Amino acid sequence: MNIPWRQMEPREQVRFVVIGGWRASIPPLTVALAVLLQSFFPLVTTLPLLPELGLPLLVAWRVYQPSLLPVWVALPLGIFADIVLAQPIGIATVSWPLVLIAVDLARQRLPWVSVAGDWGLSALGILLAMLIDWRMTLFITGNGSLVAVLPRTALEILCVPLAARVAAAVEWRLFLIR
Amino acid sequence: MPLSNRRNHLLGHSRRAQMGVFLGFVTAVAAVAIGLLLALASRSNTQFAAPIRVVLTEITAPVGSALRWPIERVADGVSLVSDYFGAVDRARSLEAVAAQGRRDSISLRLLEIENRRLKALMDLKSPAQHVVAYAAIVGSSPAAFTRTAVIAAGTNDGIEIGQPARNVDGLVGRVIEVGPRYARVLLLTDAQSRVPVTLARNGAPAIAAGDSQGHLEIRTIEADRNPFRPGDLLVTSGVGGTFAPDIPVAVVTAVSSEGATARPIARPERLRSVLIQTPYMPLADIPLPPPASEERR
Repeated sequence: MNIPWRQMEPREQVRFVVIGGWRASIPPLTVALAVLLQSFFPLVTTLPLLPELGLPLLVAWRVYQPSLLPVWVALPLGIFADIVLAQPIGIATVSWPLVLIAVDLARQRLPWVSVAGDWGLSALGILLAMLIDWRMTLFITGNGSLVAVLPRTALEILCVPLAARVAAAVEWRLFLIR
Repeated sequence: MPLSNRRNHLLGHSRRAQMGVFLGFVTAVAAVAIGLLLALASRSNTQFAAPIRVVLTEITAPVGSALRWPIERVADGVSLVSDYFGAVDRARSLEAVAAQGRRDSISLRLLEIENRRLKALMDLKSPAQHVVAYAAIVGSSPAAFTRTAVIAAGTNDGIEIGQPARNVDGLVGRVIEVGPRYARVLLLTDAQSRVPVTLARNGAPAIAAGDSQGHLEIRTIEADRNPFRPGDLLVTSGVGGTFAPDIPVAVVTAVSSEGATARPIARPERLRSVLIQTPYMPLADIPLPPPASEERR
């Protein structure tokens, strides 16, 4: 598995790209799937009460298993989320990569691992995403209220342990069981 | 407490590992930069991703509409049961309302006849407005700052971008994206929505802007005074040509220093279907929602 690229047989190189690429694409795909799942919600609501499902999963992946989700992946995922959730492009597109960078920086300052600490770190990321989403909405549409999204953000923070469970289950199946 | 298994702890002097961290940093910054550029593009045209979204909606909307069916049946069952509680009292109060309504409708019809005669005298012509489709709502946007609804009608049914959507109560919004079988309606409460309205009481012009939390911000165009009072009815003014005049839009709930807050009359969460009409004056129709705000100028 860990043979350097230049020492591989061509057959091994193909296998590495196909199978390795397939494995590496699964964590981002889970986030995309969560976004898509949310778009199936069939009712029209006045207030944005429904939590975003993709963001907690994205933050959970980055907090609990940073090596499986590079920061740049948040850009295509954010574009996908903006398109699927019918937002103007540039809301999740900007906030998701920024949040992952912020989570990384915070992790460098506070490298200790604990369940509550990681949850707190994820919560900070989600709060930051809320603020950036709000600023970007103001920038793009010239309107937008922060008060309305507070309950939804609280729900997203409560979703983090569940999202971490999902991420852990996916990782377990992908990399530990053949 | 254990330390995180961050790669940076184990780097040491390995050139390759340091290069990897550096590349990660560069790609992350590049991702943010590209995101900001896209946001800038989106600011000048909020609908620039619409073609992709239309394709996705065509694929996902059938799932949403299938999920909606059992939910609606359950809601029907609940309302069937709750109808029996306090039915007699409700019936009596409704009879009183109906009697008042009959009296009102007679005077209304007389006024209508008079109005038609006066218009004929003045040789006023109103543009004819046609119903394009009566479409079921099959989905919504679960996003934080946007309020849209997906309807089960598209170009196959004659829907076009810019057509107004209403129901029997009042204005709902306007069509912003169309695919072959589904279209997306920008609801009044969306942050991008701007509707020219007038105060029904005295005809004062104003703009109703969505605040994405279920209310409308009403900004008056007259700078010197605030004409609004709680309870005032706002109707479309017909300015701009998309919406016909005198469709009920909202009721003022609170008055603030620079305008008012209003509650839309057609409640999107109770809607199951909307009526799509042709634009009031098709020549004046502008296909896109106004690109962002008034304050920016």
